[in-house]
Order: sequence, then C-alpha cells, then structure tokens
Amino acid sequence: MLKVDRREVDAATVIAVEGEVDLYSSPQMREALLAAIKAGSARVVVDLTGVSYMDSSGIATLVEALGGLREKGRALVLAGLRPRVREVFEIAKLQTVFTLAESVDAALADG
Amino acid sequence: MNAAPPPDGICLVFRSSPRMLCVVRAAVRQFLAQASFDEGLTERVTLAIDESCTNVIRHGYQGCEDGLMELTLGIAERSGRSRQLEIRLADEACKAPSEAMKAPAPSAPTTPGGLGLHFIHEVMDEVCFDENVERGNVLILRLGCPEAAEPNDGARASSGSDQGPGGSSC
Repeated sequence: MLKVDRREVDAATVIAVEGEVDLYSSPQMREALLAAIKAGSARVVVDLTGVSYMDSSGIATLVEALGGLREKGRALVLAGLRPRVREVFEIAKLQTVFTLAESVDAALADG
Repeated sequence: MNAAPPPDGICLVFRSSPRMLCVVRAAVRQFLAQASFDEGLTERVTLAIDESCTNVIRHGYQGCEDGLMELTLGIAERSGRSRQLEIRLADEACKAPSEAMKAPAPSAPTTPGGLGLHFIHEVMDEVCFDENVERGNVLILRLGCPEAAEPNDGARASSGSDQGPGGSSC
C-alpha cells in the first residue's frame, strides 16, 4: 500500500510518498499532485526517499505534473531518489528533464 | 494456459487486477534471488515483467479485473556456464497484433505512451509473441545470462549491480 502525505512549507508543497508506485498505487500519488497544482504553491517537492520501486505509470504521473506546473510557471522538484528509482528515470532518459535534489531540505533551500 | 513450470522454474496464475502486481513482483524477486541474480538485474527484470503484466491489464483486458494471466519463469542452461532466463506471460484476451510488442520508435522523453514497452526492450534481449498460440496471447521475454553463479553464491549475488540498462550478466 502506498502512503502519501502532503504538507505546506512556506511557499512550497511537499508530497511525501512511501512504498511501491505502480499501476495500482500511482492514482494516489496523482491525486496528491493534482491537489498541489490546484493549491497554487510556487514549488512542489515530491519526497521519494521512501519509494523503493516505480514503474512507467508512476513516471507518467510525474511527467503529467511537471507539464501542469511548468505551464503555470511553477516548479516541480523530485527529492531523495533511491538508486533503483533513479535508474528507472535513466532508462526513461528523464533524469535531465526533472529537477532532482538529494533531499527535501536541499530542494527547499534551492527555492 | 496451464503450462507446467520448467524444472526449477515457477508458474503463477492470477487475475488481471492491478492489486496483484505487487504480489507478482515479490514472487519474481524471490525467484531471481534464489537463482543468484544480483540485485540490480533482479530489479530491472522485475520492472520488465511488471510492465508486461501492466500492458495485459490495460490493453489486453482493458481494465477488466477478472481475466486470467499466467506467468512462467525458467532458466535454461546453455553451453559452458551460460544460462538463459525465459519468461512467458499468457493471457486469454483478444489477440494482440504481432507488432504490438515491437520496440517503440524514439520519441521525446516526455511524450506520453510507450514508456512501459521501452522499459521492456531496454532490459530484455528478446521480446516477442508465441505465434503458435491460437487463443489469447503468450508473450515471451528472454535474457541471456553468462557466467552463471554457483547456487547460493553470496559473493556473486552482491556483485555487478552497477551494470547499465540491458546488461545481461547475472
């Protein structure tokens, strides 16, 4: 089961995701991302420290959120990717498309 | 359907529900660990299998959750210490066109669609349908695995995790 928590930190929204993101669980992450887009934060940070696996549906969800935020001149940062999850982004050739940060603190500090 | 698992292989039969994917992944990881695949290759093969199952659920059964799926994994010994992992995924959905599993054309990374298929082709050496099947579909995935580890060889199991995508050592 995927655990998704959302909190506001100054002008940013931090969405912490924990578990495995796949076809079954990715709608949960999508719902949180769409809510963050709607809320209007200047920066959305997705904390992936607790994500041990992500498939193409998870990647597609993040790509959709990236498009939605950039369209509004806002930023999406992915923080704390584990090596296995980072490798999936590399296979998808998306590691340079997203802004990646080592941690949530680093993602917020850069804002 | 109802294929007997190969010697030392496994066969899983499950419904086409997305809730089953984590169960399938857990079984696949356990099987590959038992076969001394390193962690990196185990995760890449698990991803390829997960994406194949996802394709059947989404496109074959079109979200209907009571379709049957049968996943078979086996490892064939080849010459020397070389091995080949063979994965067969059978379903009873409508016949898919043979080009449905062909490698997608290169596109912009953020273009939607085809990402799962891209993952499967990046990880596996061969991806094709069994053309001799009359009803449903049987997808075959193969991966050559040179330098087979001795059973329960802990040193091998922890090495090689820095291989790039498509690497075939195990």
